[in-house]
Amino acid sequence: MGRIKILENIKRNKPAVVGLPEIPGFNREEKVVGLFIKNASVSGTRCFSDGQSLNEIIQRDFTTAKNIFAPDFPEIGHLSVTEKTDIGILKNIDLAIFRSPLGVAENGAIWLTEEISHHRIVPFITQHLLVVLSPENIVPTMHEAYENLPVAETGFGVFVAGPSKTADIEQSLVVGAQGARSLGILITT
Amino acid sequence: MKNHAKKAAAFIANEPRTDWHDESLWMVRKKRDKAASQVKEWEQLRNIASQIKDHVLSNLDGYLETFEKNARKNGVQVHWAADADEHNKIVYGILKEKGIRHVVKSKSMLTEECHLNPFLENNNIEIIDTDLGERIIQLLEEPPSHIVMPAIHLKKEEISDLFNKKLNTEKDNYDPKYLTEAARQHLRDKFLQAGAAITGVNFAIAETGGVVVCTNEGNADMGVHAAPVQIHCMGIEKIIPAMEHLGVFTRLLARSATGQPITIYTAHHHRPKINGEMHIVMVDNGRSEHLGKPDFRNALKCIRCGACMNTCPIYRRSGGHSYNYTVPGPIGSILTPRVDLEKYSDLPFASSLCGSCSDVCPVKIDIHEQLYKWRQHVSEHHLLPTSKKTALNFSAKILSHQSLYKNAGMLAKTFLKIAPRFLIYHKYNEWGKEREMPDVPTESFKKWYRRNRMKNKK
Repeated sequence: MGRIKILENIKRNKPAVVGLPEIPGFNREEKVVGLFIKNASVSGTRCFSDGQSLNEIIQRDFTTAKNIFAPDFPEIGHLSVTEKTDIGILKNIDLAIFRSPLGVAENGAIWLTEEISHHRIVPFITQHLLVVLSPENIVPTMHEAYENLPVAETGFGVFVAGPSKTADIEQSLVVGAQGARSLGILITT
Repeated sequence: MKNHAKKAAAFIANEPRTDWHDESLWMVRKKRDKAASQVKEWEQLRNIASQIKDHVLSNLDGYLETFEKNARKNGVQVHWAADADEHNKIVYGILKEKGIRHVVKSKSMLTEECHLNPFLENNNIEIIDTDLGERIIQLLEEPPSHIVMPAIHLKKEEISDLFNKKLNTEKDNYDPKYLTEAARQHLRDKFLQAGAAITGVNFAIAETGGVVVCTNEGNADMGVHAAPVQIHCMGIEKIIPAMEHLGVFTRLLARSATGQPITIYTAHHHRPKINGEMHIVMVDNGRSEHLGKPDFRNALKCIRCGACMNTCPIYRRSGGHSYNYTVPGPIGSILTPRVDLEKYSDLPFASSLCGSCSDVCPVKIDIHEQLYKWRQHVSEHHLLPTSKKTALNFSAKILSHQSLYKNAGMLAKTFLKIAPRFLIYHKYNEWGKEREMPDVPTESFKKWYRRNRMKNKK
């Protein structure tokens, strides 16, 4: 009922056709890795780029993490998760570790999909999130990110640009609102 | 119903609090400036964003149909709602069919506009707002006072008292970290119980039939991925043509809103989860009528960043509640007269017309020009208050007669100089409220001009 009425109203009321603008190629920053680290850090992300290994990071910073889900690193994580795993189990994940196919220098965001995380909620429900990113996969801006990612081919995909945060109480920044309490990014080939 | 000026007067009665509100928002405005200045092509992006939105509005019906077709292909159930009532009934219908009694909702100004919460509550459905700011005002039973920071008007002491009563937190613990953690635990339980999750929509991509939802807290995703049923409610103006356009809008949105380079989570939903359902409700509620007003249709380009509120000298000193509408501030003042011209006839006047809102708008809406045009509209519909009408008629007469104008100026100067205070500062002199009249100049501009410029010409 609403559909016909809405479309008819729009047809009657819309302005004359206006062309769609081209998005030009902007001058791009070339030192993307440094810029990525700088911008990610501003958002509260911890970047590891000096040759540390995943094992070193976990043994130093996540000593209390019991339930680790690391599908790309079977030697580290022992949990198994599928898209049908019960939320009651997923809520106990302390640390999730994924490989991301793309990072964005201008804002420190990394891309994750439901294929990477096995269940859509894991990057959010986990207490801590650790991501491995290759420096060659860092693009300057969101324009290149959308050019390079097959976004519509995945049922769910997300850019994550830091730990979950809020400033809803008197504009005081608090990290660890509803999603992961921390985001770490290991930049390594 | 109190009008804006009266509500604003009540707000500024507490001076330290007004200053605090003013400064909090100005701080956000400054963050926006810093973020914008770091993007070389910022102005170019604003132009492109504005043009993309112009293009979409000129083919909105076509894009909505394309979006619907592609979303259906993805296995999404698409619904059309002509007005708020139809929207609420559609959402309730989905919940009822599945026997769902518990719902979580992330921030959505559209569902506020449609008053979805009271509608569902009246139908015995528990609906929990999961954005921290929204949860706070929901527990307080207040509407949001800002579209991005819904609880910006509250002090941490008030939130602490509220959480003490409702969530059993420690009395007099005002630490935002402690309070946020308490809300985190409270909301995690709610996410796990919910049968459905409702979100707003930041962008809907016609080419791919998917929707994008941006949050900083991750609350939209916690809800959507935990519940079997996900419902995304969007105004019909949220459409963009293709994926590449997201590049433009995701660069502008968070920088304009809070000065972040991007929101923490930018989630792209294209298909339902395994064994799950995904619904998109597209709502008109007056938008297609608004599209038919050439002077005002630009307001439909808004991406709800809130930058115009943060910069507005009136909003900062009158608070979001003084506008009496879901979307307050400058953008609210040009959206509301379309909703109900009579009820909101005072809002286009809640502005100094300084134009700062238009300067910061990421999609370059001519907000202050529309405010000016709405004023004329209000006047043409005979909705001006008597005091304003009388003053304007009086001024019109004087300003259109040279001799009257000359004498009136002289009279006013003399009057202000010699009249006792009670004759100047009284209830009919709006300019004398809360402030002193300016010092009377020793000579008129005309005299000054004659003395200086005419002389120089010779």
